[in-house]
Amino acid sequence: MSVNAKWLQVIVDEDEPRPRLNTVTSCMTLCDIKCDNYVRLIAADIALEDEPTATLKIFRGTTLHTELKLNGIPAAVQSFYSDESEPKTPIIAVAIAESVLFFRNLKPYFKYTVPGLGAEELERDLWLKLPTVRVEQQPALVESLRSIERPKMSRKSQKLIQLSQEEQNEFILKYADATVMRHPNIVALGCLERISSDVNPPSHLVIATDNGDILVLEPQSFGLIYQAKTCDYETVPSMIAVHGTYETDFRIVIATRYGGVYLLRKSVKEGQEIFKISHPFTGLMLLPVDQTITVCAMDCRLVCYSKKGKQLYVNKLPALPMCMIPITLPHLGLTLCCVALEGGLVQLYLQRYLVNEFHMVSTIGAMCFGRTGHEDYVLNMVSVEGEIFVKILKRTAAFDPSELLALKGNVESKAMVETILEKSKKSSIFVEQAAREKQNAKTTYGAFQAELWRLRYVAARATVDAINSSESTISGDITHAPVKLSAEVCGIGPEFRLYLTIQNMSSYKMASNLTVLLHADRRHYTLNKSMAKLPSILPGVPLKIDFEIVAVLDPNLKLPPHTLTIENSQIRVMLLKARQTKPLIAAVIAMPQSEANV
Amino acid sequence: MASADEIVCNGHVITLPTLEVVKAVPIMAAGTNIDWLLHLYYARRDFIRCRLIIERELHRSLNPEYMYFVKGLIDREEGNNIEALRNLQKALDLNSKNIETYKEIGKTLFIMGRFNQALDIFREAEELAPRQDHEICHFIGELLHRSAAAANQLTIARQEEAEAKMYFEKAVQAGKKLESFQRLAEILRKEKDYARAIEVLENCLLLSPENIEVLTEIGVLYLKINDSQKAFARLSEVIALDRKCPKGLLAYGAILQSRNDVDGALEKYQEIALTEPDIPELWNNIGLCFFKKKQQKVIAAISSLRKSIWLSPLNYNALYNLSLVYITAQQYASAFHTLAAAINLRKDSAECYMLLGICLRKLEDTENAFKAFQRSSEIQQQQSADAGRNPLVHLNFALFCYETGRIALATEQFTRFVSSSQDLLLPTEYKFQATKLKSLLKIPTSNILTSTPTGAASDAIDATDSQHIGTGNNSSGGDGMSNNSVDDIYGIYGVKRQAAGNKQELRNTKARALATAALAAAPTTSSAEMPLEVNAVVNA
Repeated sequence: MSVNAKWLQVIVDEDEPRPRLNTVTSCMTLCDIKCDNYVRLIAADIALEDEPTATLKIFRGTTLHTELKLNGIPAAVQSFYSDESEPKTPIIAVAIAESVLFFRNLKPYFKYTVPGLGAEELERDLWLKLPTVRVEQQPALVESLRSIERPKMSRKSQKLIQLSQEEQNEFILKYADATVMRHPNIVALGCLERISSDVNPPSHLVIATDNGDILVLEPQSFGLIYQAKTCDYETVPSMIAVHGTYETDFRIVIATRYGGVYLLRKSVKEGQEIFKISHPFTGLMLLPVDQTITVCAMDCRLVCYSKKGKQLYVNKLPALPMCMIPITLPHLGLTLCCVALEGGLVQLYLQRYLVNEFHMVSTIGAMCFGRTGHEDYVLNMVSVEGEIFVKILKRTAAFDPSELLALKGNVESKAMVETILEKSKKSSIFVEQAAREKQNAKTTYGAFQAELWRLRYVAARATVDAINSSESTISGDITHAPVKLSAEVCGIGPEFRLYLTIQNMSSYKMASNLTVLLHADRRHYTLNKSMAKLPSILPGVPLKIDFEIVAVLDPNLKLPPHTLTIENSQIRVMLLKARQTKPLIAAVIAMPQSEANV
Repeated sequence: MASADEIVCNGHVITLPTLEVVKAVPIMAAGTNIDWLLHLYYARRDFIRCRLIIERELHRSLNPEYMYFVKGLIDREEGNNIEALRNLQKALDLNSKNIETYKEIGKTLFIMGRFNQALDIFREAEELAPRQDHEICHFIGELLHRSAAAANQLTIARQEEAEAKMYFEKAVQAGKKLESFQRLAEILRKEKDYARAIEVLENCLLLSPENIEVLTEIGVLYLKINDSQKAFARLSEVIALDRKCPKGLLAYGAILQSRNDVDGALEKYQEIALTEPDIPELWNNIGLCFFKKKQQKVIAAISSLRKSIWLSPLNYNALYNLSLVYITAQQYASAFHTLAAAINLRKDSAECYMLLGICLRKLEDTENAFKAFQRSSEIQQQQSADAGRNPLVHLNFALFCYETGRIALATEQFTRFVSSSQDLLLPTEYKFQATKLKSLLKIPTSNILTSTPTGAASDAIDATDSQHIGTGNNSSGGDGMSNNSVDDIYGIYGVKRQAAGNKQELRNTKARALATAALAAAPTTSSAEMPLEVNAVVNA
């Protein structure tokens, strides 16, 4: 396909052991670490399988070159140049918890720790008291610590609260002298060029901590040259994007865990909220050209906002976005937005237009674009399962939105071809009937009216009949308690058992002086007992009685007499009340066909 | 400082450092601190890894607040709301000031349908929030709105409704979120404050331009305030953006239809029918398009309307329209049944009873026809105060009365017709029939109908009179219809719109007012203008 002719897949020898890597986009960087003009991929491998550990892995091409053990899980890895002295040696910064480790020539040479924050008054007082009071009083004091919000506590208080009472005293004594201080954890790193010069300008390091502080660190003297807050209250950043140069002006866009996006400028010390969405972000970009902010989030949308928070355009993504990186192509003067989606699709957007897409064998979880090896435009991808893929962009590749649009448009226009409104078909009967109605409208109407009256008449008569003959399962006589009768026939014959359930439907009246009478054609059925006097029936307590019914069979043929048909194979049940001629209920029970006696 | 030695040096007392080695202060290790990774995996919906991390770290992490938080969210995603609440509550125990946790608890309760509890939680969160939080405001508004709908007492409901509106306004200011704008517009629409609803939605459009839903909504609202020009502009935008937006297309088609561009409308409907053929209102409109065509296609109209009724048998508009078409096609028996169905659905429509009267007259059931006309006239009089006047009801009744020899009643109805048609632009058809009747009833000339050449009419009475009775069923309704010039239709436009507005009101009470509005706007408009043809039929 012409679209995918833009990329060259780097083919890896199948026999070679393929290195596996579990990483995220923030922990990947490209760096000419040996100063030999060969750019290597550096990534932190986070092992979650057993104990969470991390190693810094340096690749040469796709093969593992060096490994460095890290004493913690790094939140971000960045590489940059700290000065202009030749030969330019890149520095790798690895952020672990509250400190940043700086590596030069693959050797750690400095550990910078983010300044601690003062603890709450209450907490400090408590720690002054704790070592001095008696052991019995300690639990009460520890308990009072709980009133402080957990994230605003120093680590030792956090730990103390989790300990059981027996361990507390020992812990207090051990840590009594340690300063009561909060250590914010670093959650994201960024690079901020000092001045915009040629290639590889010296940069500062931007640090975002989990209490919402944004710091700019000068990597030579390790002094903080800029300090700001994400917003006026504490919130946890999740991603940052930096644009500009320190000397002139810069902007930092911060996305937080809870969906807010804030903008920081050089001149302000507190970020301003640009917009907020209700879904967590998976990618954040600040496009350099028109300074728009592009985010992709859990709701499968790629949304671009202006710096004022105006939504510029929305692209619906076909699947959940996993990560997003900017692809800057200086030779074309473009910055593309590269989004990896669940299922292996990778899409490239030029502003609102999809310009290129390709499928990978598995979902891509981390990406990194830039000069790798000796090639200029290389896209390094790591799948969720840990495989590394490399694609090289052809130097001749150009991205024209019309190209893919035309391709998609073709499909669409094909669907739109010549559509004739699907009308329901008119049969000749329909037309005939319409014509007949036109001529004989009055007769039709008259016939309908007559039939309607007939129907009403029939229905009314049936109702009156039913009332008169009491042929229902519920007694209709309103002067007495309403009684409900239900019947059940058990057995296959010739002996049956008829169970009658009589229920008093009234809520307060008693039904008394009742008698059940069974009536059947004696040629067909024999009844041992055809009448039963019933006790008084209380509301809500159903009464169950049973009768034995024997079907009459011809002794020779073992068949019922020929006079028995389906219509007259029935037994009448009557519910009588003493001193009343009309039965309360007169029901007919259809009897099943009898089997021969065995 | 008992252990330290103090010496005097240069007049100052200083402490000598002890020889004892400085006790190393142990530093608390940070722990694994993996919240950021958890967040990333959660955003990617990689719940397996999330659970793995949480399981391992939950008990040793120094601050497991976020872990409980994510655990709760995952539980909720997986449908286990109770467990989600439990975990979110644990997160809240650790940090009772995190409004995000409050919000998630509130949302979970909302999903579970425990609205009162959710409202309490959001109110608590509102108090804690360092600044106006749009999500909290939005949810409080939503919950109040909901409870207002469910409230038994009118005063409480009103109060809650007003408060809900206030909160939505706050949400709009605080967060500029699309949903809040839409909800606010919806409330305003219910209050019939269409101008403000449009304003709100236009503001919303500034934030997220090219939003099809919002554009469609604005278009429909413009239709409501009779600004079909602006509605048309908005809806054209919708169609330009999304060629397959059925709602937009339908409303667009309806505008075209009301402008008598039947073919254009049909073209739009065709596109909808391709993607979503099962919209009853669509087929209703298609039916009317066929009915309105130059060469009237009654059979096609009937089959389309019947399809619409088949799709939604309780659609009053479609039933009304179908009966109208049946009357035109002189299938009076079918028309009677359809009208009976329509009247069973809505017993307060004067036009419906009027049609029934016409139908019964044709079926020569004079007694019932008279009853139907009487009912229609009664309803018309009851409604004339608040709803649109339809002088046609009185005119038809007067004609019928005259025909059946009830001259006194005919005169009375005629005066009603005259008084109700005051300051309305009547189509020539009406005027013609009215003049004829007037001269038959020998009523002195009134100032209303001066526009018709009365002198000529008085001469022509006898001639037209015989025609009026003699021609009977032969002169078809189609004739009358093709005579209606565009001007005529625009002439009674005002009346039509009033009627449409009234119908809209009733429709608004439906729960899905939003969805149906676009669709309903079309059928009511077209159905209301139909009595025009009826007149032709009844006088034929």
